[in-house]
Amino acid sequence: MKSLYALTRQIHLFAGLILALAILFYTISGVTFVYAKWIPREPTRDSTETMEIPTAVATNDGKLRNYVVTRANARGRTDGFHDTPTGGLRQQWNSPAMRVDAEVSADRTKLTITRAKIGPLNMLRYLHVLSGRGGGVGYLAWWLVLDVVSVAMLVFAGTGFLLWYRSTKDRRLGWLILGASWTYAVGLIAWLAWS
Amino acid sequence: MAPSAAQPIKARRNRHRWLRNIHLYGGLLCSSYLVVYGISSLLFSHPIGRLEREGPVREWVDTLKAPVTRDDPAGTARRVASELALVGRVNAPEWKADEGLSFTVVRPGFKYSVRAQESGVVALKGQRLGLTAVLKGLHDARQYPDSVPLSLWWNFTHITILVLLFSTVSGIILWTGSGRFTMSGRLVLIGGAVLGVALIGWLLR
Repeated sequence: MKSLYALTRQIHLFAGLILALAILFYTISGVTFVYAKWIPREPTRDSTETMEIPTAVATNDGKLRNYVVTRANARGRTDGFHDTPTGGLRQQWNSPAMRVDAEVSADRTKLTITRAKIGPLNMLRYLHVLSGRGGGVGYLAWWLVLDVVSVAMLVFAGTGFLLWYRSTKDRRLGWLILGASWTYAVGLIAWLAWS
Repeated sequence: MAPSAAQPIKARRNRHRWLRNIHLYGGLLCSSYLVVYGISSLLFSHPIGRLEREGPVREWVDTLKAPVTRDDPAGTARRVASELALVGRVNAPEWKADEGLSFTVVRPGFKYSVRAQESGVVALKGQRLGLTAVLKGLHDARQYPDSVPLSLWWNFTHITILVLLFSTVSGIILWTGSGRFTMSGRLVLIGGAVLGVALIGWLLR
C-alpha cells in the first residue's frame, strides 16, 4: 500500500511539474474568456499591399498559385484556394500571431495581400482553443499539450483524492468538502441534461 | 542560540502546513470542476458524433399576462423569458413582421426558440441538446443571473481559477521544501517550461 501511495504521489508531483507552465497558461488564457465582457475588443493592426502579377504567371494556374503562396510568405493554417464571388482567387492563413489574406483579382492582374497582426489578448484566446490537425508539427504538438493537460485534470483530481485519503486521519472536513463539490456538480449536470 | 535558530524552522513548517492544507482542501473542493473541465476539453478537442444526441423538438403555446410591445426588443425578450421561466441567455431578439418578437434562449444542454405575438400569445419550441452539450456549455462559463444553480457555477469557476493558480505555485513551493527536491524533478520542471516556451514561441513567430 505504501508503494501505491508513493507511486500516486510521484504521478501527482511529476505531472504537476512538467505541466506547471501549461496549466498556468490555460488558466490565465481561460480568464480572458471568463471576463470577456469586461475586456475591451482588441483591434488588429492591418497592412495591405497590392502588386501586379506578371503575365507569364497569370496565364498559368499552377504558377499563379505558387506565386501567391510565395508572395504571401504566410504561416499557419489554411484551407487552400477558393474562388471569390467576383471570379477572383483567394487564400487565407490563420496563425495565433497573424491572419493573412491573399486575393487575386478576377482579371488575374493584381494580387492584394492583407496582413492583420493579432494583439496579445487574442493570441492567448487563439492558443486556448487551438486544437485539431493542420498547420504543421507545432500545431499538432500544441494539440497534444491540450489533450495532456485535459487528461491531467482528471489525473490530478484522482491522485489528489488518493493522496488526501492516505495522508489524513481525520477525514470529516475532506468528506464534507468533497461531498458538497460533487453533489453540486453532478446535480447541476443531471438537472441541465434531464430536467 | 537554539531557540532563535528553531524559530524560522517552526515558522516555515507552519507556513508549509497552511500551504499544504489549502492545496489539499482547495483541490478537493475543485475536483468535480476539474473532472468536468478535463472531460469537456477532450470533447471540444475530439468531437464524438455518437455522443452528441439531440432530443426531439417539443412545441407548445403559452400566453403572457401582459401584451408584447414593439419597443426595446432586448428588454421585452428578457421579460417574456422570465415570465415563462425559461432559464438561459436571451439571444438575437428581433421583430419580424409575420412572427412578432423572435428570439432564442440558450443554456447548457437546452435551447428554446420563442415567437411572441403582440397579443401575448407565445409559440415555443424546446430541444434538449444532450449530455455532451451540457458539459461543453459548462466549460464555456457564462453568467446566468436568473438561475441560482448556474450562477453558482459561475462563482465556482472563479474559485477554481484561484485554486488552480494557487495549487500550481504552492505545489512547487511544497516540493522544494519537502526534502525531496531532486535533480530529476528540477529537470522535469525546467524541461517542461523550456519546451512550453519554445512551442509558444514557434507558434507566434
